[in-house]
Amino acid sequence: MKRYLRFRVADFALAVDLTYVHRVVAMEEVTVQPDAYLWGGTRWLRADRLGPAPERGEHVVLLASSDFHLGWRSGRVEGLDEVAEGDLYPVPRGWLDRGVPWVTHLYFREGGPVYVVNFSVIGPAVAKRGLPETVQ
Amino acid sequence: MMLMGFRYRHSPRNYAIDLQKVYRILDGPAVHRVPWSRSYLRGICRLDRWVVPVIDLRELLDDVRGEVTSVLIVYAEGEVLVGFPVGEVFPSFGRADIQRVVRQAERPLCPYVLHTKQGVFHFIDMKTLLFRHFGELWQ
Repeated sequence: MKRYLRFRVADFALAVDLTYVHRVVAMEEVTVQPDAYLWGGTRWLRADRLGPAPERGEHVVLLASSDFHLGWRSGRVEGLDEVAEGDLYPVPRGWLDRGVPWVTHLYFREGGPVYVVNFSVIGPAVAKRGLPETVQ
Repeated sequence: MMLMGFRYRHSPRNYAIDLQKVYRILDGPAVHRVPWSRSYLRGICRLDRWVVPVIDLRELLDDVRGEVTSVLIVYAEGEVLVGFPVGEVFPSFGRADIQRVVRQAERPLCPYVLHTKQGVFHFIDMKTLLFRHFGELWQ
């Protein structure tokens, strides 16, 4: 079983492997510029293309690897899911925009799909070539 | 070959596809949008053990005037399933029901027009259509 933190961006439920989640903070706790909480290791980068602007009281999910931190604006943190490997479906690359290679799997909760953001892909990709596109 | 006909609501044309490749016809399945998806991907739905991409064929068939309904044809090409929404689904028909076949060289995705007792149907070369225009879906 793998554990995922499920959160919501716009109309979509996303999730990330819990081992990559460093912290979940409220927007009020973000003291840097409101639209700049992407931590590039040594500096904050603009994150306004990661999703629509959060409303007051919404959260930032801080994802982390050994050398990279990424704050992801989420409309709502919905909880933890334990997912068996057999319940994970691969997301073919062809379904997505070419600039989004980091949504790799999905699983279903409460009848709807939850799209798994693979931080081991998004972290280096963001560091290398900038930010992904906004959720449409 | 047995064929199945369908059309989009208000469509000026009827279409026919190979009935053997029709995996299921679903009425009103839950179709979920996919974030950051390609424009032709309307969403996904669940069917048995599959997650089925739902695509829109209308523009490719030059039939964007037709409206879709909640009816979804799930088509199987090998191990791959793909769904596309349609309007009305006709009863199946076979060779014996076809009175005349007219080849349409200028429309490679609809290479034949079939005149039948039930009306005129444009036969869709689904394999070519899917792999030419939606092949990336399965990569």
